[in-house]
Amino acid sequence: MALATTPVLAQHEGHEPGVVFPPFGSGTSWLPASAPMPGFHFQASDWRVMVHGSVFLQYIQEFGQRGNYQLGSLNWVMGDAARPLAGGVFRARLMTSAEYYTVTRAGYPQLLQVSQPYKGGTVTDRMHPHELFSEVAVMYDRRLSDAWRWSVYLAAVGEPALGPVAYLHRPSAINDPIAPLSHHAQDVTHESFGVATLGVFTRTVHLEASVFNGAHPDEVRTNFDYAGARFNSFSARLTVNPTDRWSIAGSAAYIDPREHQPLHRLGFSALHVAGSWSTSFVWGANVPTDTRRVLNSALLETNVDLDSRNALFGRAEYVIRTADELALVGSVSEDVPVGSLALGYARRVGRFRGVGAWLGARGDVDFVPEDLRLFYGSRTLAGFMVYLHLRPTSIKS
Amino acid sequence: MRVGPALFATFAACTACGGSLPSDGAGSGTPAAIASVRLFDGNRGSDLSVHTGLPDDQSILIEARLYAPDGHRLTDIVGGVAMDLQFNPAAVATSLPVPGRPLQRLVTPTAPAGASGTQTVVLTFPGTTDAKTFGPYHVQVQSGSHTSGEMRLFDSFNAELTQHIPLITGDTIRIEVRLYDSTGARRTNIPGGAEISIHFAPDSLAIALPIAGLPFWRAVTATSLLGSEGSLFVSVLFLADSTTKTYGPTQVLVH
Repeated sequence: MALATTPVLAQHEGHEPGVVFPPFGSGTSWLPASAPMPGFHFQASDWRVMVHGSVFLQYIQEFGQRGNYQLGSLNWVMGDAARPLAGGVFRARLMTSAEYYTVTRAGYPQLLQVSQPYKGGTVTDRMHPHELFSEVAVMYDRRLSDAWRWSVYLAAVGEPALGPVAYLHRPSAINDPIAPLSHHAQDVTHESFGVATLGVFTRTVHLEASVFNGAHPDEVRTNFDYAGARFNSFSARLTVNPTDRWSIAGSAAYIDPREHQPLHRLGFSALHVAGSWSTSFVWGANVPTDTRRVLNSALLETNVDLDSRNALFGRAEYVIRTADELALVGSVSEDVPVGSLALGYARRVGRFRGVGAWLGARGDVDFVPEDLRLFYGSRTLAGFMVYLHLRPTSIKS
Repeated sequence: MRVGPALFATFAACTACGGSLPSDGAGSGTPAAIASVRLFDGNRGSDLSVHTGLPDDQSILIEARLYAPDGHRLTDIVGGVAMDLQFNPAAVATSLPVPGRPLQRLVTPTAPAGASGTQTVVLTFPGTTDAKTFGPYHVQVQSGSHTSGEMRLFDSFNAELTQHIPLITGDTIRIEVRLYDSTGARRTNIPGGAEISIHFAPDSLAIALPIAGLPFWRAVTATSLLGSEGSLFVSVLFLADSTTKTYGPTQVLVH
């Protein structure tokens, strides 16, 4: 195996040597070209390999009568290997997470998060763990003309062309492992069991369409959920990176989750990276096909790396929750608007062989309408998290 | 001993430690503690809170489960509790008490398949005049076992519409009729062939036009006002023996 230093931008992508395209975020989504992507890069024969990940050891405390606490670990590791093949570039990708074991099958406490099936019943106010295999995919892209390339992405588990870069991979959320409350209206499909995507792209424009299995993964996160699976959902996304600092995407989808009414999902996102300051704005909406009610969500999150040792981050959200999502049908209004504001600070306390250790703290306040006071004890709900975070600190060859 | 490894070992040992889940236990409470009610199929255990489908050829057991504001289930109400279901419109279904099971009702649809409405849970507390109501919960009468999946309807996105067809005013959707045998296998080769026809009740609800080259598809367009409701029936003429079989009704709602 030969180790080689690779130019910074070229390490973000897997195209032909010397051809620099915006870096992939999650699935086939694009980040701004200037987005930092710390990780380990090396060359093994014809393969260019990149490994990166993030491991949090955290304590979460949510207050109030539906509050809870947990000591756990949110984590993921991802490997991406690319090599020339038949005039193009072939790449394989694997992403895994041990959260099923480290935050339990029920997930971690998060007030107002979408309820989920759990051992024959329903668990509320918790965010589910990620799949043991969150992405198992191959991709191939090849030159179409001087400016254009085409690509195909096939995933046993992966992300269709829908929504923004999943929150796990956004530079603006690098220090914040908590899922957005708007996750289920924006990027929840990043773990779909069965995805096929075709795309064409230039250096600045990416147009793609997917067919995928719209069923939600079940609560057992260690298996492949193919029972009754079929390509019953469709999506398309247009991404434009007008400069190295911006990535702007719009997407639309028809999703048939099977266990409830099919829905349309619309999304828009603008990701901006300026040096060590990353910001994302995301709008997403679910529109059930029977009611055609537009269930909006909006998110603004930012991360400022002050001096490579200290970072500030925050997130603000507005989400329309349904009574069904809160498991409160018949007791509250059909649609319930909620808001959330989170702020945090992280400080690097050590570094060893390219892996940094960060200590961080995050506080959050959620805002709920009068309808929910009975259930949450207040209209303002508070919580905090403290953590130790291990992740690559820089591009390491 | 170094502090770092010791701290890490302690943390690792405690990973995933946390408070108990509301679903881990059940408890007792006063009537005032009941904050929410969810409905379940008393035999199968499936959650019916979002949508209760009533087969038009049988009764089902509906069970109300009671929850405290913090999400804990309340299995014992101090002083006792009884449950009734009120349907709107009243003609959708009726319910009868189940002896010895105050939180269950035996529900029988009294409207044809396709009818829909809401149900409200009324909790009463013996020895008092107090009552609590929860709802509405959506309820719909559906075709029961007599059609047993021989005919199913799908749209062009492969979404199944056999129980309910949402039509959007001004939009046309394509609907495919698929036939199945008793084993559940799809019948793609019918000896002698077959022809389908679709009609609506009332007739003014919508129209279904043939699509060239796709004999089992129809282009369906709502021809009635927003909020109109009715039924769709599919007739299949089997050319080999000239027999006709009619399936339905499937509920149609104009959104």
